[in-house]
Amino acid sequence: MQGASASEYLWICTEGVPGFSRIPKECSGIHITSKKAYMIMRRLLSKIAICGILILWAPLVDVVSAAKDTTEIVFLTWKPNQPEVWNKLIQQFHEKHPHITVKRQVCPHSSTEYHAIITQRLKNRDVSVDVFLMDVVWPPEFANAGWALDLSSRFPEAEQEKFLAGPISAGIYHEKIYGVPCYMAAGLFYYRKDLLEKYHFDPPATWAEMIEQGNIILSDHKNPGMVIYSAQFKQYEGLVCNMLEFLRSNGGEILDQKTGQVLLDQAPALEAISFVRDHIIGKAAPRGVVTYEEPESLSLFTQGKTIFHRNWPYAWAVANDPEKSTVSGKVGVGSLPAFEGHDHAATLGGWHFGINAFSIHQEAAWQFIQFMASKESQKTLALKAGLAPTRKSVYEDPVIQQKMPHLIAFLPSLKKAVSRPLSPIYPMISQELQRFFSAAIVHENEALPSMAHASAVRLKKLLELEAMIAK
Amino acid sequence: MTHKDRFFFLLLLPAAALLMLFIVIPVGQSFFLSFHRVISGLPQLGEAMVGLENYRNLLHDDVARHSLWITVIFVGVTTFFELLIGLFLALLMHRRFPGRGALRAAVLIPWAIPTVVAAQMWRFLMNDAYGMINYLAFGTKIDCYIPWLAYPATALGAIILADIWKTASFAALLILAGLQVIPREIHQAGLVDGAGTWRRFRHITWPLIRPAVMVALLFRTIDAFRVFDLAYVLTQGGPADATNVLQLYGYKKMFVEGWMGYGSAISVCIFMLALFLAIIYVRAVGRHLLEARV
Amino acid sequence: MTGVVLAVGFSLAPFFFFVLSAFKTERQITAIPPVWLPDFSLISFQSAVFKHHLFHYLLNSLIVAGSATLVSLSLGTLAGYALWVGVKSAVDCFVLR
Repeated sequence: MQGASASEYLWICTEGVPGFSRIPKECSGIHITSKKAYMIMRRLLSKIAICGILILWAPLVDVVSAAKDTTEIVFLTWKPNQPEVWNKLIQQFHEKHPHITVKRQVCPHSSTEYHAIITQRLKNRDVSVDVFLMDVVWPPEFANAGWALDLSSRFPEAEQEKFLAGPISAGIYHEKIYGVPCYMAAGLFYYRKDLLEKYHFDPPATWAEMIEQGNIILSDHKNPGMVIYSAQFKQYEGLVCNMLEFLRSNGGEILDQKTGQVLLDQAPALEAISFVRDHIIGKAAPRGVVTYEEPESLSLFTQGKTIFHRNWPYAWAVANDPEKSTVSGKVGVGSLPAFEGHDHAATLGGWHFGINAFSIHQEAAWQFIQFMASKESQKTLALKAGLAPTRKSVYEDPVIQQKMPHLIAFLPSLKKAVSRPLSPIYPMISQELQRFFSAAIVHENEALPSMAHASAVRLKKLLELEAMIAK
Repeated sequence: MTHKDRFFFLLLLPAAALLMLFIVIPVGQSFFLSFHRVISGLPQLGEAMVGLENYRNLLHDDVARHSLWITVIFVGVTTFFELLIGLFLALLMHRRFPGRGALRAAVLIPWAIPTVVAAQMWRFLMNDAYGMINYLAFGTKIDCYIPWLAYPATALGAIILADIWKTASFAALLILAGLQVIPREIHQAGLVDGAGTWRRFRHITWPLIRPAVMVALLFRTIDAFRVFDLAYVLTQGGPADATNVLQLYGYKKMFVEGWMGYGSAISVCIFMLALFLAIIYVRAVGRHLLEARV
Repeated sequence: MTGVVLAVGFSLAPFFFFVLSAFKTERQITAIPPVWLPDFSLISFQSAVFKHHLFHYLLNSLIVAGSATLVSLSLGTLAGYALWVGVKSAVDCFVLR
């Protein structure tokens, strides 16, 4: 066998192999010799090899072309509602910084899916991401895990002062800052200005007042399928935002950030949740809100089927767009109602820019972030995409004040917005809260205090986990 | 090793290598991970080996127990109705009539549609404001419309209905294969003896297609146990975890919350349960399958 | 015959309605009573192809499906042959015993 090549060896192996000379009944007439079978197999294997090379070619080409003069940074983002605006900003950046190329990788629109994708990559110390976006509740998680770069040296307090306090504090973990606020959001109260004017009502200051006004309007209006209130009560992150607004507007809280004590099963929280369960779900709001995220609840409002609505600032533009909304021009906006004797509450939302701690282009990434968070970029995002800016100076800009007076009207609520619990294990806390709140509002007949207590116990266990890393 | 053996070994090698890479190694890693405590958001805790702690926690996890119960209900109801409807469809497709090919193609379309698309479609049909189901039930009386996905029972019913719609035709295919093996002479003999349709079905058709039905049962039970995308797209776990099937719970624990070790334990449990079911089926039914064929 | 109608209706009706909605404008999709004869507007297709890069995703699907089929078919054919001839007797023994 010495000197025999691989192919000859293969051919020899097929010699006298049963099955090749034995003709199966079904294919009589086809006589396959062992050599023929070997030739067929060789051709097949070579075809596989060619296809394999072709499939691998594409990423190889990518890698090769990346070795150029310019620094290329990767911006991992979710799918925006107005991609043209973001495209334009990136183009402007390219003009200003010709030696830096920004390559965008677009993930699904959903915040949860984006979180899953980005955490998987950063967990594996992926160097191929440079700049990413962080939801307002992620900086503690990303900072603690060492995924986000500490920006304290590049983003000193003097610069931080130029931004609104709420978003900045959401980006801080253990006195270091990890995110530059891109845009912000807060829970706002939308209402049908025309209907309230017709009945000479002021926008309601309490939830009870809202239901009262709603009942009067509905009994008079006689519009089938019309309801009083619509918001987001599906079992997802938005439920926590909505319920937190109810809780806090009754003086309740989920947990005390300073002491770490869980307050979910205390009286103010329980009262607020009972109110939602007994008076909102299925009564003031249709039962279907248990399946609504922002788009569905907003469409109820834009089709004129609800009087009051809770949503983020982006809903203003949609509700006033005559092509998408039947109530365009009849929309009023203000702060959410509260419970008797308490102040209104709004949950903080929004997104921050962050730099991957494992990135090898940190300086270029920082320049990109500086551009995207500059006054001009925030102004463009506000004017063209309706995203509320985080820089104080943008709100004082005359163009903004003239073209977007509602944004100035949002400012008090935006300034008062409070974040959800800040914790490196917020995803776990959020899942537990979503589970509890959804069960509380869906299973109306189950005793609330025991459910709340069981949930509080589970939350305490999670917080113990967090305490373990503090040591 | 003879030349023959070497040849067969070479032929098996690429497929075996692929199996190793895509099945054995990941499953093995899942097993391995399930014995550790790995939390992706808290890398400071490291990857401590905790033995059976994850499994012990799983036993006491109320949500996991609820998820298992939901999955069992799902498997039971869908399998029963899919086999029933599949049997009916197979009997229908077995007769010779013009347009039989078109009927087969039409019946197979639900199975051919990607599950994600089918789930979105059913979500659309179940909509509480403009869904077709509501319109067919209540006409234009919009205030009578029911938000099907907002009640725990009907949300589970919705994913069951979507699954039945989608895979009844697959069960029909499997049963049809069994039907086509039955020689026509037996039926004709039955007719000659004066047996009616039901008699013929009960005493001739049913015993002979039982193996095929068992195969369909096996496939569908194991597939239904692993349901994920239907629940994920249609209800995302449903109102108050009403459609939180086990696989979805495992996904949420692992990728959303970051409990890599615990999520792996859940996946291993699903794997074990499915394997256990498969072994029981093949043991109990395997002999019948071969006796009928021989 | 009723069986056939039922079967076809059960299988195709939801899908048919879905396909019909592809040709409706957003207003018509959410309209009650449902619009049975839409304008046949191609606006959804336009949006899918140009705004949401449908062809890019189709290409991805093609690549995945194509390569998966190719690889599994070729390797499976080889392995299947080896198992059939080389191990057939062993399988017979295992199953029948």
